[in-house]
Amino acid sequence: MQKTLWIVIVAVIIIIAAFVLSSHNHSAVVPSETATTTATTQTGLGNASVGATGASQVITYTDSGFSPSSITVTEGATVTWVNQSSGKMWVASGNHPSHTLYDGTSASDHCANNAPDSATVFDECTATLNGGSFSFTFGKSGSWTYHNHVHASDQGTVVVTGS
Amino acid sequence: MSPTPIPYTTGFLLLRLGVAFAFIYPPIAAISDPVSWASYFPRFVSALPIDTTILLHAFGVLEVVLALWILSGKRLRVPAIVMTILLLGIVLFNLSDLSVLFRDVALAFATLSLAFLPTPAGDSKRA
Repeated sequence: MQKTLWIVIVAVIIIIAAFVLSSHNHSAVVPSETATTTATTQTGLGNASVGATGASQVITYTDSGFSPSSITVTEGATVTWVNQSSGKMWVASGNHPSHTLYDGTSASDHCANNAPDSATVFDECTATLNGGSFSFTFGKSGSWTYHNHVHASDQGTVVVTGS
Repeated sequence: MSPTPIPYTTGFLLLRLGVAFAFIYPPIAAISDPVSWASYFPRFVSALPIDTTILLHAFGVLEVVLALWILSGKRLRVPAIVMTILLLGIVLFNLSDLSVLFRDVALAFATLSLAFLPTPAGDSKRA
């Protein structure tokens, strides 16, 4: 019995360690997933802001997740997420499921009517299908993690620097 | 003077109550907020041609059954091992959420311990 217990414990630890390490290695060998953009760079959005207010950025969401998974923009920049996946996309501030990271309010409060209750809420508050999109203008600097509320393991980060 | 030891049966009951709570709370919370809980399903489950909400509530029924089984205290090895597998599966399929789901790893060890602990009445009730 004692021997079996130790075998199970060691096996569980090895499996967890293997998955954690493989996850880290995966992110380490895909540097192209990260894109850094300065305020002078635009990505083709017609209403992109120019200059000190920051440029607009587009992030695509596919069945593989968000791409790029991490971007850097300046304060005032608008980021647009486009759903090109076969499923639903619900972009929301970390952490799942409370979504309190960006503005301190929880999803149950700021999404009470299935729509963000103010422009400062970083939460789509509803799911969009393939072809749909969501835009948000970042008004404060910081490193803001987000995720797909419908598939919480798909995550990304928007780093907002001062303008 | 040594403190009075907590009876083994009390610790055993508290452990089972804690584990049962962890499995009863999610299906209840999922009634009012199914999207948040269904989002932990791995993609291959979400892709099944069955409504995700129905799958979620079916999974919830399984969780309640396991919790009640654990509370019953009978043949604990079966539900304890199933719970451990479910918990570790949730963690492994959502590793990017480990900052939240690390608690599930602790819960998995708690359920695993139930599979190995002798019941207060002895091993006769175990599977």
